[in-house]
Amino acid sequence: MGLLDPAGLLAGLLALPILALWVLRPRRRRRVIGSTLLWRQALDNVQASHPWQRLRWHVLLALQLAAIALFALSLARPFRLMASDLSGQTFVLLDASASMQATDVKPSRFSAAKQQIGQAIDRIPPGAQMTIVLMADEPRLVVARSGDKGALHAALDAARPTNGNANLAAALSLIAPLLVDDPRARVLVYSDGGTDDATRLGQLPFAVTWVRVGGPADNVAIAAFAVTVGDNGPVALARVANDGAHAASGQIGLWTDGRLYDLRAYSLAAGASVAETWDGLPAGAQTLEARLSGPDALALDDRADAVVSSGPSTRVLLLTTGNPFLEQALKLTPGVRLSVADHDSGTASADVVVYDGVAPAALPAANVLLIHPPAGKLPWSIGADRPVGLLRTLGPSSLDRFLDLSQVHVRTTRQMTLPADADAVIADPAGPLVAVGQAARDRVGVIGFDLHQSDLPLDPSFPVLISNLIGWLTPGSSAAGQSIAPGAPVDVVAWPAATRIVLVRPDGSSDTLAPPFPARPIVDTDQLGVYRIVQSAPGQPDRVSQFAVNLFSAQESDLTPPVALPLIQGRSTSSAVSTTVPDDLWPWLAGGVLVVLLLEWWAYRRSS
Amino acid sequence: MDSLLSPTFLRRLDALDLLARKLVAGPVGGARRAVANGASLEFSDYRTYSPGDDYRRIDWNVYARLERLFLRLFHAEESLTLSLFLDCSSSMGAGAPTKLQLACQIAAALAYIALGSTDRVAVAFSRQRLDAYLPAVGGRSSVWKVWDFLGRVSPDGATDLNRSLEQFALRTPGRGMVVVLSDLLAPAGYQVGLKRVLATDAQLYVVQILAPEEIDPDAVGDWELVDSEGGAVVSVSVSAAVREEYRRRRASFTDEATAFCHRHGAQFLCVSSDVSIEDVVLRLLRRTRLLE
Repeated sequence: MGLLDPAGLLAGLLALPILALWVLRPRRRRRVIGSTLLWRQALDNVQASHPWQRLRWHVLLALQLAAIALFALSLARPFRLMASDLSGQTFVLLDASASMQATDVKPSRFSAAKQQIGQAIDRIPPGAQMTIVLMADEPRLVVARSGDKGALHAALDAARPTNGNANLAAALSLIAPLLVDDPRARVLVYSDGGTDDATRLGQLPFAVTWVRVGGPADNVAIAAFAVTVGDNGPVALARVANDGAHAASGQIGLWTDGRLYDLRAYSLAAGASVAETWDGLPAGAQTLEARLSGPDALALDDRADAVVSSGPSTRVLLLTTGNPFLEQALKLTPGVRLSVADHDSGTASADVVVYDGVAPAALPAANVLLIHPPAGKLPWSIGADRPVGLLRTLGPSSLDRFLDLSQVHVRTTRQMTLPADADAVIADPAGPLVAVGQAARDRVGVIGFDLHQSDLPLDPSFPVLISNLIGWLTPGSSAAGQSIAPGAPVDVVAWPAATRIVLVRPDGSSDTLAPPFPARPIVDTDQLGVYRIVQSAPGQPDRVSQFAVNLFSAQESDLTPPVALPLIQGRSTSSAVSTTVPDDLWPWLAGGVLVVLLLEWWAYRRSS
Repeated sequence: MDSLLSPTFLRRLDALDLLARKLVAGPVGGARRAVANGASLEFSDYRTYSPGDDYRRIDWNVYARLERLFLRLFHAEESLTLSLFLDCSSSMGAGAPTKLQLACQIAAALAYIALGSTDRVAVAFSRQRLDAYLPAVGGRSSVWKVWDFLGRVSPDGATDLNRSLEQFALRTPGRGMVVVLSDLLAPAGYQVGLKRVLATDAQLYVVQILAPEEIDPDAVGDWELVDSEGGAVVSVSVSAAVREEYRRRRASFTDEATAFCHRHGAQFLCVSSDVSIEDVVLRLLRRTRLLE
């Protein structure tokens, strides 16, 4: 025991005015009586007849002095020495992935982790600080370097789990700069161990302590659920996986547009999986939903959604003097309804207009793909032809995916000077060959070279490039008709005639994405289920595109904790040994002051 | 005085008489058996004749049988003097009605009874000394004189009971009845004065009159109590404990006076000023054997 601030005891002098108030006589009313003889004799026994009176014992006085004593003592900050493993800086990484919503630990792994962190917050000694990071797909700093237990508890209470993965590497990278100057800092990971691999970070320069939450738990998940449109209508495929350590059986049901279509039983050994297919589903079905019956530890992966139709087909107008390669590539692109013309006779009804070797006087109100446009200013500065060197891909992943340009050669291409908001997709050392960008509210793509001056049309990458470009230019969303992971961003491409774009989430809530145009991307896709993007234009029916968000994560569905976290420890966790720290007792004394004051109030009310 | 004693009450007083428990020694003849032998019809004793004795009291029948002269002695019957001592200090102005009002009513009633029985009545007012004195008067017609004397009194001044009673004792004829009407709240005490009165061989009755608020104070809270006799101030925070201590002290004060009186052969009575005169005279004073 000791005092951190002995000067606080001076507050005990406050007892003097208290005593003075008790000693000094109060202001009195005068009253003439016959004789004070008997009063004087009686008062000789009970009080003094001076400006001050004899200090007499009274329970109120005792309680007031006790409150002063406790108050002074609390200001002096008495402490007791206690062993603590949380001295200095403590960094807490709280796993907020989907698997933390498993209920094998009541009420859930996430709640249990929060409870344990709450207890750790209560153990923080004076002077120590804690940082809490929410470990999801994108790590989020909840509270940084705070010794305020109230703020820490408040921040912890506000933390919510996500339906994504736990990106351990990103979380460690986030806190690493904060750990550089503090070799005594501790890193505590409250997780069930289902995290992304962090071994790529190499040997960590600090110790990480894993506080395991949850244990082996049975779980059956829908590991995959997809739908394609066959000759006899939609065909659905679902794969059910038993990620638990025990055999499991149950039923899987299929709903089409909210109506139960089929119910099938399954029986799975531990670690096994089974695929179920449904043929000949109703032709008009828009959405499918698969559900598993029977309780297990994680409910998130017991349901999956699929979108059958992503909306109407894309109307593409090709203006060309003749290019069978391009025409064929466009026809092969899924969802494209192609029209071909040799002159610009009107582009009002097209979603995407492809100009091959020609250019309009002004860009139309539609998304546009320009192929070897004439030199000019549309959509950005286009110059004369120049020789082409070694090709490489640079563009966004949605545009350069599946492209292999190692066997592709281009003779010449237009010299292009891109504005800041345009991106090169394919380039050589001298500049871009294929680029995409935004012109006013519409999207623009440019292939700078004449397809006839390249062997690209003969390469398998050509239809892929055309498909990627048309997909990027197609109104709707980048995820239309697809199933994406929770939290994945989705680009929204405005229909040229659209004046308003609204997102409707699975829970029915909605959000306006545009205006203003261009529409902002969808970033809050953590909810599982079907999202609807509704584009409205005056006098025309709404255009609706849908996409589904499903868990489909073996890492999250497998609830069995690993032996160790997937990382390379920097030093032994034993280096963060328990130290003796002072445990401040003033909060207890302050509480005592409150209790004594309440008692004093009660005693006063009772006596009066 | 008419307002003090109602006609109905006066008619009831006619049936009462002072009860003299001692032989009296009055200056004039009356209805009381005197301590000396006298000329009444009640035989007392014989004694041998001495020259100069009244021949009329020689018992000639005894002389015929014994041939010796004996005188027949008879009890003398003399009048009783009722001396009323009233404390008129400021403290007697306390209460509603005031203590002095009740004292005057008691004095008036006793005077009425005494003067109706051929007894004589003297009245004294006391403050720091004997302030006013009405010498003994007799005869029923003197009632008005006594009542008029009582009607002129008002509470004022400080108290010195010992000094006043000493002066009063000098004027008391002795072997009479003395009734002291006071609150006895005298800083210097009252015992010395009462002893001087008792030394006159008078039959002493002490009636202590206290106001109700002096018996059971009703004040609560913080007070500056100002003494009506001299302005002394007592600051007091009246709590339940203080009130209880006061009650104890007041009871002890009365008990001390009672014990003192009984020890010296006097009768003591304590009454509250709010008790009716009828109740005091017809019940309490008869209980103390002052009246019969």
